[in-house]
Amino acid sequence: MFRSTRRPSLFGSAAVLAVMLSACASFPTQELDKASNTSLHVIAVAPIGMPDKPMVTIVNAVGNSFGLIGAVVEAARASNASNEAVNELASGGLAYKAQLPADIESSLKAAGFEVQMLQGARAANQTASFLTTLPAAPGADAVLDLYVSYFGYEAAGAQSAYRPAVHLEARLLDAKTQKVIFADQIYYNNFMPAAAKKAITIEPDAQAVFADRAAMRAAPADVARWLRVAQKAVADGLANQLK
Amino acid sequence: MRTSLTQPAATVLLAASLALTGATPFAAAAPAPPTPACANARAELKSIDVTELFLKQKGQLDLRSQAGCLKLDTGLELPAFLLRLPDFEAPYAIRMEAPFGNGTYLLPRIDMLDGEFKTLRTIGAESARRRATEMSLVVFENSSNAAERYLLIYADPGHLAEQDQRTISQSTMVFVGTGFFIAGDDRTTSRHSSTEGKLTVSLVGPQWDQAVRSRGHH
Repeated sequence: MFRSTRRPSLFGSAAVLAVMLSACASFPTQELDKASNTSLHVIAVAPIGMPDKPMVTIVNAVGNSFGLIGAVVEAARASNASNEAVNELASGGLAYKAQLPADIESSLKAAGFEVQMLQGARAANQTASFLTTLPAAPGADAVLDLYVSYFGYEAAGAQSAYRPAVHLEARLLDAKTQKVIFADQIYYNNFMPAAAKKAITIEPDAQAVFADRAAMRAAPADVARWLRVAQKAVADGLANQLK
Repeated sequence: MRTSLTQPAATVLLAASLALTGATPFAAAAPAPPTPACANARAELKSIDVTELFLKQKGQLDLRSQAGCLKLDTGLELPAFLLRLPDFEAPYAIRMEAPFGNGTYLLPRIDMLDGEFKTLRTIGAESARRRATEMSLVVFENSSNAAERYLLIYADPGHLAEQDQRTISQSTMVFVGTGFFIAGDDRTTSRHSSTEGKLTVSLVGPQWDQAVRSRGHH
């Protein structure tokens, strides 16, 4: 019994650690030199990459310590929780795929920019990465290329509370030269700082805590409300870097 | 046999999980160095060549043991560094990163000075980015800033004792019998901004990239 669980637990743990460490590749942070970009007035926002469903992750899931079977069990739990979160957000009235672009637009406008929200869809293989080819943006000074690498809730462990998390990866490119003039990460609830050491970090509201999944199921309006708060905070955080 | 197999693996995993969560299991308290006499004027501070600092010392500064002391106009005495800038030839950036310490962190303020030690511009702590493991601040040097000859850095007096609280996910190892599994919990840390702290100063620009590559560091 022990032999059958010990080795897989090591392999499982090693696999989890390998995945976590692979995420440690440093992001090429680049602050915007406002003095050299005084002509930056019109920003075109490319269609934003978003996850298909909200994530509900247990960062240190016990199942991951028990090999392939444990990982499969954990994957099933995460998938079920994600599907439930879809319903919770629908009940709570949050259409997050429409709300985040709206928040970005309003935050950039509040920061003094003229904003063009570019129409169309992001390529399916670039919803979780930067674009390889920028869309045309006539009249814009720069193009903002954004994708969300985490959206949803996370818990540190099986017995831990759930908190909202929205992680935004951003870069701004000169519309004419396509040179990157700004690149950064804005993370609301950077729950694994060692994997994103350079990310601009926004602490979640202390009240945005759910004791467990049952508490989330019981309060879909609050589940949606705290994610709305997180989205807005990330949008404002981005605009603050550019203004 | 089982113990000898499990223990090294456990040590490796514990070290990795501590590294991932940023935990510091052993915090050694270094004895405080003697306080240097405080300079009443900026010109009295010993200046450090920022290029040498970056290329030869990896930009590392300790705003405690290595720092001078500056008496501000308000009478407040603070550890301070005076960095000497290179002659301006092409635009570049000076990036400062102040890693979070145990219980404290540095919220820097930067005064850019001319050759007569007069302030040409100030970048306060409100411009600092609150990143995952550090505070960062960038100063861009363009042709319009060519008169800037020195960079004076010290803790922002207007932001001393500010609180920073973070909650992160922490990996923990749970031993059961002779095996273990990885579990997790939340770890909340609180820090306050201090007059002291470590800093890494980097020069960013094409003119520095080649020098860095040839030296094979950073």
